[in-house]
Amino acid sequence: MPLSSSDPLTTAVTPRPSGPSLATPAAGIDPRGPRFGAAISATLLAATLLLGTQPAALLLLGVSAALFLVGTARGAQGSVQGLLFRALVRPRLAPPRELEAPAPPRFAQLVGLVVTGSGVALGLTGLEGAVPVAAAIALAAAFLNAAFGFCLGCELYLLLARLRAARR
Amino acid sequence: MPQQLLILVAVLAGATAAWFLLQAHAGRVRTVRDVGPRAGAAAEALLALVPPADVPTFVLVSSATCSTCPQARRVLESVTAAEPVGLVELDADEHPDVVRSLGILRTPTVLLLDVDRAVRTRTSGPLSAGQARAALAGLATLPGSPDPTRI
Repeated sequence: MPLSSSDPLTTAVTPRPSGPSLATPAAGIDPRGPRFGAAISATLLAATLLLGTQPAALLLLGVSAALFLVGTARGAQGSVQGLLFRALVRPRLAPPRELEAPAPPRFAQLVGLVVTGSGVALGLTGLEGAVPVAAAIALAAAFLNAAFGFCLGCELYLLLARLRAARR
Repeated sequence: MPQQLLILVAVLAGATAAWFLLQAHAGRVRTVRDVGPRAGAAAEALLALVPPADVPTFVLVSSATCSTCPQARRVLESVTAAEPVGLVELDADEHPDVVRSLGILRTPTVLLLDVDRAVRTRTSGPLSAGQARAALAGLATLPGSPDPTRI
């Protein structure tokens, strides 16, 4: 007894025995956008890591944090990397085979913001070692997303939600 | 700089290794035994959420920020279209009791319930249609466990 066998792009409303689930909404985004954005983030973070504890590393980490802030506020498709993708890369590609829900990559931007933001804050208070550590953590996540399409921030969601519930 | 370069390589290599380990684990079907203090609570919660049926049921636990859940849903829909098996999707955010009692840490997690609505196998991470079919086919060959403590 199948629930629905309609086109994957248009399964906006699927009847489910339980309450409405936050499934693929009607307006999806091109999944290659966040991946391209992650490649830019990974490059920036790799450069940050190579600068070690120099002041320039703190500045570059600040740039990453600012980019993640834009992505968190506007979603991955509205981030600076997302706009670059749409202006420069997307016109050269074939239409995507499938669309992706915008919530997961947006949550990943928030995770990136928290990690790089903490590094910048600690770096500003004089804890220089925090800058390469934050850059390394964020780099691992951005690299996995760019290279394998694996969204670490998305995977962390359930763990974070459980921590939140446990604190209540 | 050479030291930083080494750290950079180590970070990328570590991330890659972790990813391969996770991939090896993804979609693997694990047998669930009805044991543990939380099994009863989980069974009760699922009985309330999964309608009775005379066929097995896949339960897909998804979440709003899960990037691979739509793929898992399509795979399961293709299997339920061809085989005598039902499909119920649960949002992890709406059913924290189920998530906690079953110790679900990752979405998508796919449970396979037998006709008595007892959890028999589970997989976490994206799964293929072949893996879903194998889980279904394996249901008959699993060690039969008419557990009296089960609801």
